[in-house]
Amino acid sequence: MDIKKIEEEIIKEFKKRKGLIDKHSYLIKIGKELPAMNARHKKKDNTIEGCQFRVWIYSRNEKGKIFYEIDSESLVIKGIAALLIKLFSGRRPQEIKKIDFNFIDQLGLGEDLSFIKVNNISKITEKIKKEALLSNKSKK
Amino acid sequence: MKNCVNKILTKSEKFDLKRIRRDFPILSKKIYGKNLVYFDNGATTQKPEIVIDTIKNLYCNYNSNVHRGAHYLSGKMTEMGEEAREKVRKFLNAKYTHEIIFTKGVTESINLVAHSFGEVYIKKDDEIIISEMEHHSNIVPWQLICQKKKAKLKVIPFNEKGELLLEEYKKLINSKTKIVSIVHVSNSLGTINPIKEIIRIAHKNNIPVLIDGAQAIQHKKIDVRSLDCDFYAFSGHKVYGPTGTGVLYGKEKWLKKMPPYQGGGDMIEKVTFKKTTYNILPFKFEAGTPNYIGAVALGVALDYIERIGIDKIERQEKILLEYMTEKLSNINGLKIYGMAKEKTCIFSFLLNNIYSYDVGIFLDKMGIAVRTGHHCTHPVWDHYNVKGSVRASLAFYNTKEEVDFFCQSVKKIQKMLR
Repeated sequence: MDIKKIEEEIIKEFKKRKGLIDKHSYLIKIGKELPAMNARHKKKDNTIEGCQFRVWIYSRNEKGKIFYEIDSESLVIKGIAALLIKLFSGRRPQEIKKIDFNFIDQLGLGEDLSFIKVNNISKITEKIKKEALLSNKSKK
Repeated sequence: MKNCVNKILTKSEKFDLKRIRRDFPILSKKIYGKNLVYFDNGATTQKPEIVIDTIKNLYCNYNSNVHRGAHYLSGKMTEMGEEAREKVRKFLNAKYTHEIIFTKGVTESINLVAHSFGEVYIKKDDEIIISEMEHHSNIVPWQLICQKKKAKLKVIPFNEKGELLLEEYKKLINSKTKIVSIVHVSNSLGTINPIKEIIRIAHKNNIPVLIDGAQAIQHKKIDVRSLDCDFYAFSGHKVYGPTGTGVLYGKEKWLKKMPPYQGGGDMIEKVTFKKTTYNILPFKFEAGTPNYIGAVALGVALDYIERIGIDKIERQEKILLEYMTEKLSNINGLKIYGMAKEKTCIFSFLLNNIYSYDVGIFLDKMGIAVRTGHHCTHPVWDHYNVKGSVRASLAFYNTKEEVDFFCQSVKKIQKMLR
């Protein structure tokens, strides 16, 4: 599906939830639904050490498409990871490179997000793009 | 300036909490449309209006660089800055005003001692004693000097309640020990350490002691002469003063012998390309333009809490400590970390298997400000084998009603996230 359409769907889903608590409860729900990451993939190289929580990102290349697994100690962050996976996973590196993350700002998750966005989410998205790039290079 | 302070401060014999809360403008703020419950005082305390007004007044009417101007404003500003130093001296009951060094906070104060004391007194194979519950700012500066001098760091462990094991401390002391640097109150566990005893033991062995008072200065009367500590460090912003201000108290005998920490303007007596001689205390340790506006505002913050009475603050916080301990203990699945017999209003806890950050995010949405994570004390959480905690840290302006709301909110989150 077109990336823009997925973004719009995500934003629409969040708009249905009025209060901040409802929105975060929804993040918790989708975070809990995210399949657990294989413990073998939680290696140091796949870890993003944050001030508040750790995040693990594992990617694999299947026929030129990159598939991601993301996990975190925090369910809220796992919820955000679920959104990112929806957007990124199963796409070609060229597509992934072009994605921007401004849609997160439109979810209306509150002021604290600015902190985790700078400190954590940007590191996650950076790693996602970096892995896509590496995968592309190794393919060549 | 004096008139301004007297006009706003009214000495109240009774502890009037409603009146006190009105002194802090931020406490009436709404967060996401809800009343702010500020339980993050361990990170920084809120500022009374008098402190905020002082900063504005100084910039509007007095601002001028201190110590070297030949004009009215500079003279006036210098006078006020030095008056603030004298206020700090009185507050700590130090012997001399020149034993008070203005810094930008505890971190800088400890770095100053580690660097300058370490330069002279710490040699290869020497030992420095700290504890397992130190903030990173009382670990890393010592690690740096240890690396530089090939010295060793020794660590006093704590028990499950979060109390230092003094017997282990005694065993660590030997002829190689050059300094003991200990936190007065743990920022993660709330433990009030028996620093008087720790100092006594060190002094019996002629070892100087630095006390990190970051979490003590706002809760207890500090008398450096009675404690007989060699150094005492605190941050202005934790004691209702401005950020970027701090103090290092040091006994004259050490400060005189220690070399400067940083070089620059104001800390010199005479500079030539061949040799530079240094200024007298305390200026030897205050290179560059100091945060003079901050220093004066810190003095006003100290005036403010003296007007309220540190004894009354301690009493109110004891009430809150007992009340909140009981309330939190009644929540099934909640585990408090730090149950020392002597502690302050700091509550570190975990709720079932819910990650601390998630609890904090939901408390925030209810208008409650807490801190989550490791609170700059990795070794504390390694001790308990957990990844940090939710930390609620209270101050004298908090109320029992806020504690009730907090505990109800924690229970709600428990239901939602389990």
